[in-house]
Amino acid sequence: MKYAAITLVLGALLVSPAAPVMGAGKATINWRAQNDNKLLDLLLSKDLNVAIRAAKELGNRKSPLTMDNLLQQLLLGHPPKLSLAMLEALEVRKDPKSYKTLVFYATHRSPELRVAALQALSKLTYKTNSKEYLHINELLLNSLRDYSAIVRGKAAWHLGKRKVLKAEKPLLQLFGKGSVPATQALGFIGGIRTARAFAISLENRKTQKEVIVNTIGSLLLREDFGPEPVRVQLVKILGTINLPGAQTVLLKYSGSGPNQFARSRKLAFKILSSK
Amino acid sequence: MRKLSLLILSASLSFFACKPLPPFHVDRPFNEAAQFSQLGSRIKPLPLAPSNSTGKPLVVMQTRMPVGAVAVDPETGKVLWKTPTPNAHSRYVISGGAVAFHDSKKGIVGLDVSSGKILWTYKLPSGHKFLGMSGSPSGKLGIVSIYKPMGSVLNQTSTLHLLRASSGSKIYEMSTNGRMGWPTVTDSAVLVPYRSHYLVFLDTQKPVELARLHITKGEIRYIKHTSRGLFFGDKYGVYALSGNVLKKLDKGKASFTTDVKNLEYRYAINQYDPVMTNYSAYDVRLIHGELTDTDSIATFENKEFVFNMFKYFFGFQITDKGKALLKWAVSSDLGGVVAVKHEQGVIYYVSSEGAIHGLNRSTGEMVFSTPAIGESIKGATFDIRGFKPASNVTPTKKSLLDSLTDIANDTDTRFPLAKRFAIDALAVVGGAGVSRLIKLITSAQSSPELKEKAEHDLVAHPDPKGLPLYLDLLKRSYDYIQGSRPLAVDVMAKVCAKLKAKESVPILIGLLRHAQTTKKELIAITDALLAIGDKRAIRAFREFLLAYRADPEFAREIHALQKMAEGLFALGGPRERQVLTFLAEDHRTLPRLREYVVRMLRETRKKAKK
Repeated sequence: MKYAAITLVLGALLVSPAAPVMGAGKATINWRAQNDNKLLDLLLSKDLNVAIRAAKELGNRKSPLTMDNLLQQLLLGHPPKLSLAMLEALEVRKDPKSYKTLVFYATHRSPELRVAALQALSKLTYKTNSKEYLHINELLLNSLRDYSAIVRGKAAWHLGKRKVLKAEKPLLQLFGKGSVPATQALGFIGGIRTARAFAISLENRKTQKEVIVNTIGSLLLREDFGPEPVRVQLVKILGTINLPGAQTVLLKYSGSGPNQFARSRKLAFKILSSK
Repeated sequence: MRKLSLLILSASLSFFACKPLPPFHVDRPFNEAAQFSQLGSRIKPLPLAPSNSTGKPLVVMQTRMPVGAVAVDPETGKVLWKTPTPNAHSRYVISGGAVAFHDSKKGIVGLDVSSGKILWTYKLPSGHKFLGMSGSPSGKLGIVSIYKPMGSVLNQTSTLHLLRASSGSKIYEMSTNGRMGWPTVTDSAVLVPYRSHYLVFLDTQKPVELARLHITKGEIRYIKHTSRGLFFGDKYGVYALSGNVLKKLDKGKASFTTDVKNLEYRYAINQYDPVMTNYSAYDVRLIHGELTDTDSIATFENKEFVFNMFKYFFGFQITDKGKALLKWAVSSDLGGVVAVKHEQGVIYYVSSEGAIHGLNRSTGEMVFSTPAIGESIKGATFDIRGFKPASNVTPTKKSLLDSLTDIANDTDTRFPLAKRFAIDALAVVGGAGVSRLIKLITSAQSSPELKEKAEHDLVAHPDPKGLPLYLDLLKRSYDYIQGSRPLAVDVMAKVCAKLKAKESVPILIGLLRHAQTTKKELIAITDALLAIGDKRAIRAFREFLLAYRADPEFAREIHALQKMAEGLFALGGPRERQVLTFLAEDHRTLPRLREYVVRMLRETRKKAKK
C-alpha cells in the first residue's frame, strides 16, 4: 500500500503539466519590458545567448546609461559573438560617443568585428569636412589594404557610398586583383581611369563581364562622370557585348541618363534599335 | 757414421736457420734505420713529366653507358681515341705505353696509350678477386688480388702481381696471408700497404723485401708518389717518407684543425677499400694540394689546400698554429664533377660532360677550361704531371660570403652535406655583417637551414649599429595591395630585446596591436617589450589582455596572453593589478588565462607575506 502511494505520487509529478520538463527552454524574457538596469545585468549573464539578446535590445534604447555601459563592456572584452552584437547595437544607435571605441575595434584581430566597427563608423553622422569624418575615410582607405577579403569589401562599399575620390586608385588596384566589391564601388567614384581600365578588361575573354557591365551602368547614370567622348566609348563597348545585362544598361541609360549627355544617350538608343 | 749424421744435421740446421724469411713474413724486422737510409736515395720523386710513353699530358675518361675509355688531350680538350670497355671494373691506370684496367671477364687488359687498341690481357688466378692496381712511369704494373677460400676472411690470402705494362708479361707474383692494399709502383720499388700498419718495400725485379715500415699511430691507407716525394698515411694525417722518416714517426702525422664543422675529408683514395677500386663518389671528396717534404714532415706548399666536396671546392690556408682557415669557395656550375687532380698550383677537374677546368689553388678563380666532349663521364685518370697550360679564361671573383651563401641556397638537393658545411662555414668566417644576415633571413631563396643559422647568429651577436636596419624590417606595413608585410618580426623582436632598444618600443607596440601579427610574433614582441622594460608597453598589454581575454582564438595558444599578464604584473602598478584581479574573477576570461593569473597573484601574496 505504502509503495503504491509512493508510485502514484511520483507518477503524478512526472505527468503533471506543471512539472519542470527536462531540457525545456527557460522562461522567455519580455525584452522590451526590461528596464535598462535589468538589461545591463542580462548583458553580463553567464548564458551567452541571453547576453547577445540583451546587447541587441540595448541598441534600441536611448538612455546615456545604456550607451555608456555598452562602451564600457566593449572595452572590458567579451567573446567575439557578444562583442559583435554590441557593435551592431552601436550601429543602430549612431551615437558619436561611440567613435573612439569603434576606432579601436576597427583594428581588432577578428575580421567580423573589424567589419562591424567600420559599418558602425560609416553610419555616424559627421560633417563631411570634420576631423572625425576625414579620419573615418582614412580608416576605410587603410582597410582597402586589409588582408581579409570581407574587410576590404566592406571598406570598398562604404568608400563608394561616401564618394571618396581618393579611393579610386586603390580600388582600381583591387579591381586588377579581381575584387567584385571594389569593381562595384568604382561605379560610384570612378573617372576616366576607371573607364579605361574597364574597357581594357572587357577586351580580355577571361574576364567576368557581368559585374563590369553593371558598374559601367552606375558610371553612366552619374551626372559627374564624363566627359561625353568617354561615355560614347563606353556605350559603343556595351553595344558590342552580347549579354542581356549590357542591353539593360543601355536601355536604362538611354531612358534616364543625365540630360547633358544627349549624344551618348542617343547612341545608346540607336544601338538598341539596331538589335 | 755417428759423426757424419751429426755433421749432416748441423749443416741442415745451419742452412735452414740462415735462409731468409720470405717477404711479408710476420717475423721480418721492421723500422730498421739502415734499410731506410738506403731507400731514401733509391726512391726518387717523380719527374715533372707525364708517366705515359708519349711524354704528353693525357686524361683518360670512363664513359657511363656504354662503358668505354676516352683519351683526351687536356690542353685542347680534343678526343684522341675511344675504346669500348664494356666490362671495365676498375679505374684506368696509365703506365708507360699502356692504359690498364680490370675487365670482369678477361682479367687485366692493357690498351695502347697512343691508339687505345688492346695490347694484351692477363688472367688472374681462378677464385681471385681484383682489389687494385697502380703503375710506374717506367711501365711496371702492380696488381693485388684477394683470395678467400670458402669465403672465409680469416684464411684470406693476398697476391701481388708485378707485370710489364708493354706486354702484360709477369715479372713476379707473390702471395701471403693477411690483407694487402693495392700497391704503389715506383721505378725502383714496389710499396705495398700490409695489415693496415705496415708498409712493405719490394724490389721491382725479384720478389725481395727491401724494407718494412711499421707505424703505431694510425694506419697506412694510401701512398702518394709525387714530384715532391713519397707520402703515406690515413685520413687523419700524412707522413713524408725520407731517410730519417723513422725519427719522425714518434711525432705523429702532420695534420690540421679547423673550426668549420662537417669537414669530412680524406687525403687520398683508401688503397684497402674495394669500393674505391672503381671510380666513385669518393673521388670527389678529397683534399688536394702540393704535399712537400719539409725535414721529413709532410706539409702543404704555401700552407694551402683545397677541399673538394662533389661539385664544390673550398680553399683553405693553414696558419702557423695548424688551423685551417677558409679563404675561398667555388661551386661548379658547369655540370657535376667526376675527377679532380692538383698540379702546379691549379686544381684541374673533369666535369660530367667531359670538359676539363682548372681553378687557381690560391684564389679559386677559374683559369683554364676546355670544351665538353659530349659524353656522360663517370670518372677519369689524370696523367698531367708538370702540366702548365696558358690561362684561357678570364677569371671572375666572387666574395667568399657570396659564394658560401650561393652554395647554401643551391637548389640542387643532392648535396645536403655540402650545404651544411657552407652554413657552418658562414658562421665561422664571420664578418657576415648585419645586411648579409638580414638578406639571408628575409630572402625567399634561402634554405630553411640557412635561415635558421642566420637567425641564430644575428640573435646571438646582434650589432647595435644595425638597429636602423632591424627597425626598417619591422616598420614595413601590412599591405594586401602591395603584398608587403613586416619581415622576420620574431627575429627582429629578439634582436631588439637583446639590444634593449627603446627606439623599437613604439614599433613593437604598433605590431602588437595589429590584426595580422601571428601568435608566434606576439610572443616574441611581448618578450622583447618585457626585456626592454619600457612602461609604454603597459597600456598596450592592458588593452590587449582586456580585448582578447575571452576570445576563443587564444584558447589553444594562450601563451601570448599569459606573457602579457606577466608583463602587466611586472611593469604595472595598482591599476594594472586591478585589471589582473578582474581577469582572475570574471567568468568570461578564458579558463587557462584565469588559472594562470590566479596562480600568479597567489604566489605574489605568498612572497609578500614572507
